[in-house]
Amino acid sequence: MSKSLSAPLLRTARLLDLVPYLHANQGISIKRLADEFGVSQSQIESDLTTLWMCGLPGYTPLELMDLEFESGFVTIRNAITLAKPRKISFEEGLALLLGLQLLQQRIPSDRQDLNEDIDSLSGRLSLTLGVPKTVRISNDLNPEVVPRLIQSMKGSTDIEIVYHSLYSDNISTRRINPQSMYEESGRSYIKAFCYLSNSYRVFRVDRILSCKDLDIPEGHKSEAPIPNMVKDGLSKHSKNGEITYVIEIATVTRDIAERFGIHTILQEKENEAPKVIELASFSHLWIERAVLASASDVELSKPADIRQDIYDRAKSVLNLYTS
Amino acid sequence: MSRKIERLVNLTIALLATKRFLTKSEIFRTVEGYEGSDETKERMFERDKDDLRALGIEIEVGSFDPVFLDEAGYRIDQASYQMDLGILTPKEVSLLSLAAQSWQGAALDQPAHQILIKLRSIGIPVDELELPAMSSRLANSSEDIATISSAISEKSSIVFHYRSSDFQNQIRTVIPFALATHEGFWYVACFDPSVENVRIFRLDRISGHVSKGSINNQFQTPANFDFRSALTQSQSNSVAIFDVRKAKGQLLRNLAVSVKDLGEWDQLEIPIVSLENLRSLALWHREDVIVRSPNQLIEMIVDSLKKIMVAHE
Repeated sequence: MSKSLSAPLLRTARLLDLVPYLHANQGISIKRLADEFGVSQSQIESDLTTLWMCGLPGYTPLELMDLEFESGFVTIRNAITLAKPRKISFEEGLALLLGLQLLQQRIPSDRQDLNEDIDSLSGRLSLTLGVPKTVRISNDLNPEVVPRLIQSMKGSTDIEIVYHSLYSDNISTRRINPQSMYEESGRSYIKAFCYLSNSYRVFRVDRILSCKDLDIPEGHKSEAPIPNMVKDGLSKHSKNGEITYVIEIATVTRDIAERFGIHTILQEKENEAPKVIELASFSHLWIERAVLASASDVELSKPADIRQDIYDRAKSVLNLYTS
Repeated sequence: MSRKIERLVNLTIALLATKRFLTKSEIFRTVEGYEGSDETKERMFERDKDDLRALGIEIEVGSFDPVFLDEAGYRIDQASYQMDLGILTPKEVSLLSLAAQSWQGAALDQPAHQILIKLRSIGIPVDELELPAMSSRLANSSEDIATISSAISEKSSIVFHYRSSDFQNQIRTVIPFALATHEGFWYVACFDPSVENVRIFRLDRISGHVSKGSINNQFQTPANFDFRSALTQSQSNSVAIFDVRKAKGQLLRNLAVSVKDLGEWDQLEIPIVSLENLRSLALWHREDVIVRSPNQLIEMIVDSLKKIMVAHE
C-alpha cells in the first residue's frame, strides 16, 4: 500500500500515526521520534506544527490538540479521538503473520509455552485481516535441531552435531559451540567454534542431520575461544584460495543458470554463442562436480588441472557402466 | 500542500468523533479547510474521501432517517478505524514486535516498520522475552509476496513472466491459492486455466514483477491441498534405481522412497520427476553412484560421460 501512496498521503498517514504514538510515549525527544518514523528532525517538527492546527470542529483552543515541543521533548493532550493506533493493513498483518511463523521455529526448548501465544495471535490475525491460511513460511529446518542449537547458544554450552558436507559428500560428527544464527539468500546458517577443525566454521542448518546435548556437568562453560572479530568476518569469504575458472556453455538451461548463479551474465551475452564466462569458486571439488552435473552442456576451459580431473573422472565413472 | 493534509486530518477527526452521520453541508460548514464555490467544495470532498480510502480508512455512508432517505451522511466507525486484536498482554506485544523485526532489510520491511510503530502506540509495556538475538533475512524475499497474498485472499489472477527450463521467458496468467517456502525458496501454487490444472512456480524464477489481474469468483481453492507433499512427493509412479556407496549421497537419500542394504552399497528407489535432473544428480556424485534403471537414464548418463570426455580431452 505505502509504495503507491503520494507524498501528501504518506504525510497524512504519518500525522495520524504520530498522535497515538505520542499519546503512549509522552515526553519523547524529537530526535527519537524522527528515528522511529524514519524521517528528519525538521520534518517531524513541521509535522508537529501541522498537527497543532488540527482538532475537532470549532477549532478553538478547547478543541485543538494540545502539543508542546519547544523544549525538544514532545507531549500531547486533548487528542482522545485519535489516541488509538490505526487498524492493521493487509501488508502489515502479513508481515506479522509470517514473522510469527518464523519466530515459532526458533523458540528455545525451555520456552515452548510461547507457542500457544503465537498460535492464538496468528488465529486472531488471520481472522481480522483475511490473510489466507494458505500462506506459509517455514525454513524446513529440523524441529529437533533448531531449538537445541538455540538453547546451546543461550547457555553458551557445547553440542554435538552430525553434519553433511555437500562438496565432499561426507558425514561427520563434530562437537561445536554455536555463536550466532543468521539467514542469507534463504538459507539458515550457524556460526560456531568447531572442535574437530579447531576453528570457527559456518554450518548450514539444514545440513545438520541431528544433534545432541553433550554430557557436561552443570555450570561447566564451553572451552571455545572468544571469536576474533576481524578473522571472523573473513572466514566465510576469504579472498585467498579463490579459484578462477572459465566455462563455455553450448546450450543454456535454467538448471545451469541456477547452478552457477549466472542469470544476469547470460542475459547480457544473449547473442553470443558459445557463451564464455569467467567465474570464481572456493572449491576445486565443487567446480568439478558442477561441470559434471551439467552433463555435456558445460565445458571447463580453465584451469587445466581441474579440466584434466574432469576428463579422468568421466572416464572412471564411464568404466562403472561399461565394464 | 500542508493545508490539504491539515484538512484530511481534521475531516478524519470530525468523522471519528461524531456518533451520528454528518451531512455534506454540515461538513463544509464545520470542518476547517473547505472553501470556494459549492462545486469546488464538492470536488474537494470527493477527492478527500478517495484519499482516506487509499489510506485504508473506511467512511460509512448513511442517513439520519431511515424512512425519508434524504441527504446522505458520513462518519467513520471507531471500531473499524482502530487496531483491534483484542486485549494484548505484554508478552503478546513482544512476540508481535519480534515477528515484525524479523523483516529488517527484507521484503516486507516497510509494512513491518509501520506495524512496529503501531505496536509501540498501544501503550502496553513490552515484556522482555529472553530469546537469543537473531538477524533474519527471510527466504528469497520478494516484493511480490504481498501482491500474491492479497491476490489469494481476493481470488484474483496474477500475471508474470516465468523462466522455463530452457531459459526462455514465458508469460503466465494463473490464479494463485497458496504460497509457501520450501528449502530456501518461495513457491506459489496456482490454478492454470490454460491446462485446467494446478501448477507450482518458484518465485525466484519470475522475471520482473507480479501484477494482479482480474477477480475470479468462480474459482474454488482445491480442497485438502498439501503444499509440502506437492513439492516433495512426485505424482509419478515410476522409480529409478540408484546404487549408492555407504555414507555417501545424502542428497539422493533425501529423495529415496526405499533403501535396501547391499553391503558396501545401498540400493535406493527414487521417484522420477525429471530424467535430466536425475542425470545431473548421478553425475554430481561421481563414482559413488551407479544407476541401474531405467535404461533410458543409463543411456543418457553414458552419452553425457562420453561427450564430457571428448570436450575435456
